[in-house]
Amino acid sequence: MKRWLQQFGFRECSYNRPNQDWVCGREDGRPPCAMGPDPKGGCHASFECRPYRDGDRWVCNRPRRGSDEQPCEKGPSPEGVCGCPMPTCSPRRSVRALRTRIVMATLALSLAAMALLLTSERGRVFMTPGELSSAHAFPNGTCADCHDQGDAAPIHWLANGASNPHAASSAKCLDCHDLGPAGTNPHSLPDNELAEWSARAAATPQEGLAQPPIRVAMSKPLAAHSSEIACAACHQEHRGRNHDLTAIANQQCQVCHQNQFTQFAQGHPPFGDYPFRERNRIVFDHKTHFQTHFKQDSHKDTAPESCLACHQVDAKGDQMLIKPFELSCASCHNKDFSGFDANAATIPFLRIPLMDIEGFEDAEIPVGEWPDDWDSLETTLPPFTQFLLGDSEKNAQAVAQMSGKDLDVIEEEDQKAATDLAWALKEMLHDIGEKGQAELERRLTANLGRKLAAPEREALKNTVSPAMIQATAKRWFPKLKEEVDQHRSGTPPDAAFMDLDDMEDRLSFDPANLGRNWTRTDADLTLSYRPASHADPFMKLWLSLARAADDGANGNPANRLFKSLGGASDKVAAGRCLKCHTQSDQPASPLHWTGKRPDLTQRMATRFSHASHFHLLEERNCVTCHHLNFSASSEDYLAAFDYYNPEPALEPTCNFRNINKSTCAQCHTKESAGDNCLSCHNYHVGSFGRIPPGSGLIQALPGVMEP
Amino acid sequence: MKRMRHRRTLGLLILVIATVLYAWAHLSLETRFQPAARWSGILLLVLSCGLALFNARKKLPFIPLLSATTWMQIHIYVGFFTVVVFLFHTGFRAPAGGLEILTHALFAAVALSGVIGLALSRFLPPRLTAHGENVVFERIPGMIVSLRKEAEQLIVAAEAKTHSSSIAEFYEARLAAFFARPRHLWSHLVSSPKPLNSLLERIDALDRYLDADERETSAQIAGLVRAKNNLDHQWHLQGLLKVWLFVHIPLSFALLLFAAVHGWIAWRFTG
Repeated sequence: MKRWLQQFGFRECSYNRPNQDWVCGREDGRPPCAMGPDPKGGCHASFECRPYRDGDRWVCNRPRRGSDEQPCEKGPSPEGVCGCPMPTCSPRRSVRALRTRIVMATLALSLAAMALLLTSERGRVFMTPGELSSAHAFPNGTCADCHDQGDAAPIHWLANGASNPHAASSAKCLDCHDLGPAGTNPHSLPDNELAEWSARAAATPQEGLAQPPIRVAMSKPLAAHSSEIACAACHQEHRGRNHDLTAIANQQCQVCHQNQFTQFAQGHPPFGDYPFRERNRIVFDHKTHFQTHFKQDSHKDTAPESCLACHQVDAKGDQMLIKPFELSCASCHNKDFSGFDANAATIPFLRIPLMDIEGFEDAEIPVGEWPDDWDSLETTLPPFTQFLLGDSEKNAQAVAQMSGKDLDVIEEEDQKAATDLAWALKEMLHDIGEKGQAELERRLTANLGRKLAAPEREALKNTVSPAMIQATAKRWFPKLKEEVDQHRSGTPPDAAFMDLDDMEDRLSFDPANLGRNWTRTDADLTLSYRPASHADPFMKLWLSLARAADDGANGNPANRLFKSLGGASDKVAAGRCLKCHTQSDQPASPLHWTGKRPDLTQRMATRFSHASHFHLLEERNCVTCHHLNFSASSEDYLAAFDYYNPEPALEPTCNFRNINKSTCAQCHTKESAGDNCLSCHNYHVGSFGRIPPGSGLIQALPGVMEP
Repeated sequence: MKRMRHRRTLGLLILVIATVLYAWAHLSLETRFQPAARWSGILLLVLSCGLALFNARKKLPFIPLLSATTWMQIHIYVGFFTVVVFLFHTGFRAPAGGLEILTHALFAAVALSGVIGLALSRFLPPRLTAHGENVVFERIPGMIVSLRKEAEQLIVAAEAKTHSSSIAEFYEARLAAFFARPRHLWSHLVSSPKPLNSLLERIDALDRYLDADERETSAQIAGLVRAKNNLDHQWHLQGLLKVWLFVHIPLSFALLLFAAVHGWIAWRFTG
C-alpha cells in the first residue's frame, strides 16, 4: 500500500502561512505550531492549548491533529494551565519575504548607483549614448557644443527636462552648419522656392511604373513630418565612429515627393534638360569644331584627340572643367591675339575732336584754345571718352545731345551742348592730370552707380596711367590749367584757333609708343590702347565696367562702349573677347571670364561624379553619355549668345543632347551600381556659405582653381 | 488540454497581429520622419510598467480584477510583445553608451529570465506530477525531518531486537547524510535515478549480511529512502520554479528605474 507523506484533512494538515513574511522555524519534524510567528518574526509559542472549565474541572482543549490523537496525557493543571508547553522556535523568513528583500536591495543599489552617476563627472560619460561619428569627434569637443547644459552634471539634465529640446538641438547644429534662413525646411529651401519645386515636380511626367514603394504606401495613413524637420530626424549621432550620418532610406525621400517609384530605372522622372540647365560660360561650338575646323589640314595637327585634351575634372572629381586657354584653345587661337594674324586695330581711349571753333568765335562763345583746320582730326568722340564724360547730368546730357553729330558743323541749337562738351573734355583732362586715379574712379563710380570693387581699382591702376593722360593733355592743351581755372572762376577765355602750323614745332605726327600697349597720335590727337594678348586686363576691366553700367538703353555711352569693345558695331574689337566670353546674370561680375568653376558654397539638387565613372572610359568613352546634337544648327547655338538683345538671353544653350536616363539606368540598378537617391542627389540645396579652409574639401587644382 | 491549446493559439495570433501592426507603425513613423524611437520608448515604458503590475496583482489577490491565470497569460504575451518593441526601439543594434548597455543588459536579463521561467513553468510541473507524491514546498523540510526520525527509530528498534549494529553502522556511514537535508540537486534536475539506485543497491548488498528481522527493517528503510528521494525531487524542482523569480523580479524593478532615467535623458536630448 502506498504511503502518503502529506495529508490534506483539516485535522491532519499543518498551517504553513507561506504568504507571511515569517514562517515557523521548527526543525524537529513536527508541523508548524498553530499560532505562527508574529509579523515581526517573534515566536508566539506558549502552550498547546487553553483549557476550558467544565464545572469544577479543567478540560484539555488541544486541537486534534491526527485521527488518533487524543487529549494530552498530562492534562491541565489545577489552575487551568495547559500541561504541554510548546517549545519555542526561531521563525524564518518566508521565500516570498526573502524575494521582497532582494527586490528592495536591488532597487536600493540601483538608486544609489543612479544617484552617483547623476551627480558625478564620470556619470556624464556613462550617460553618453555612444561614440560620436568621426565628423563630430573633435579632440576638445564637449557635450555643450551640441546640447544645452551638456557640460552640467546629469542631475541638471533631469531638472531641465521640461524645456523643448528639439528646436534647441537643431539650432545648435545650425550654429556650425550654415544652411541659410530656412535651414530646417525640407531641403533647406525657403517656402516660396519649395512651392516652385513642388509645382515643377507636379508638372513632370513619370517614366515607367509609377508605383510608390510598399513602405511609402503603407505609411500613408500617418501624417507626414511637419513643415520643419529637426536635424536629428535624419542625422542620427552617437552611433559610433564609422556611422554614416547621412544615411537615409530611399523610401524616406519618397514620402514627400510627388513622383514615387520603386526603382530608378522605372518611375524616376526623365532628366529633362539635365545637365544643361545653365548657359555655357564660354561659347564653343562643338559641332562646327568637330565637323569643320578639326578636319581642316591647317588644324589637323593641333586638333584635340579626346575630350580630355580640353577638359579636366575638378578637385572633388565631380565637374568636368574647361582647361585654361593656354592648354585648350591657344594651339589654334593664340594667333588671334598676338603675332601677325592678330587684329592690329587700336581702340581710341581719348580723343580731341575737330569742333566748329569758328562758329564758337562768331557766337562769342568762350571755349579757349581749340584745334582748328586739321584735316586729320575726327569729328566725333570715341565711346571711351563719351563714357568717361558721363560724370554729371549736365555732361551726360551734352554727350547725349551731340552723340553721332558732326562736331565740326554745329547747329545753333547745339551750341550750348557743344560748349559744355568742350569744357567737359578739358575739365576731364585737367582733373585726371591733377587728381590722378581718384578722378578716374570718381567718373567710373558716377557711371556705375556704385564704388569700384578692390579688384577693379587694382586693374584700373595697372592699366590706365593718369600721368600719361596728364602729359598728353599738357602736350595738346598747353594752357589747359589756366583755361580751366578761368572757366571755373566764371571768366572763361574766348575761343581761340590752335592751327596745325602753330603746333608743328612741339607735336610729332608719328604715333608715339607710350608703353603698356598705349599709343599717342598727335596727328589726330588720339590716345589709343591696343590689346596684345589673351586675357588682356584692360579689356577685361573695361568690358566688365561697360557691361555693368549698361542699362540696356541703346546708344547710351556704356552701351556704345560695350558694343565697340565687343565688336558688334564696328571692327575695332581688337580683343575679340565676346566671341567666346559670355554675359552672366550676376551684376557684380557681368561677364564670364572663365569657364565654370566648382562653387563650394553652392549645393545643387543633383550631383554627378565624373571621376567615379572614369574607369568605364576604356570601354565607353565620353560620348556614351554626351551626344553631340548634329541636327541643331550652329547659328541657333550662337544666336543664343546675343548680347545686344534688350533682354539678354540667358536660356540654357549647348550643342549636346540632354543626358538620357536610360544611359544611367544601364548600371544604376539596385543589384548593380545601386540606385539610392543620395547617390545622385543632395538633400540640402542652396548656397550655404563657403566651407571653412582646412576642411579638406578645398584643394587647389593648378590652372583650374581661381586664386 | 484542448482549452489550453485554444488559448495558446489565440494568444499567439494576437501576438503576431500586434507585432505586424507595430512593425508597420514603427516603420511608417520612421519613413515619415516622425520620432519613432521616442514613441517606441514611451510604449516600452508603459508596457514595462504594465508587466510589473502583475507582481502587484499577485500581492493583492482580493482585488476582483481578472483571474491570476488571465493575468499570467497577458503577462506572457505582453512580455513577448515588449521584446518586439524593444528590438525595434534599439534598431536591432548593439548598444554603445554605458547607460544604454546597462539598460540593454537588464532588459535582456529580465526577458531571458522570463522566458526561462515560462519554460520551467511549462516543463517542470509534469515532471513533478509524474515523479511521485506532490507535496507543498514549505512542508518538505518538516517531512524530511520526520522521515529521518522514522528511520532512526526503526534502526534503534531493530538493534534492540536483533542485538546487531549492522544496519545502524550502515545508516551512519551511508544514509545519515542523505536524510540530513535535500540532496542530489543536479541529478534531480536532469531526472537521473543514479543516486537513488546507488543507495538502494547498497541496501540490497547489505541484505545478505542481515537476518530476517533486519531484512524487514532494511526493506522499510529502503522505502524511506525512496520517499526521501521523492521529497528531494519535489524540493529541487519546486525550488527552481521559485528561484528564477529571484532574478526576474528584482531586475525588472532595476530595469524600470534605469529605463525611466534613460527615457528622460533621451527626451531631454534627442531632437
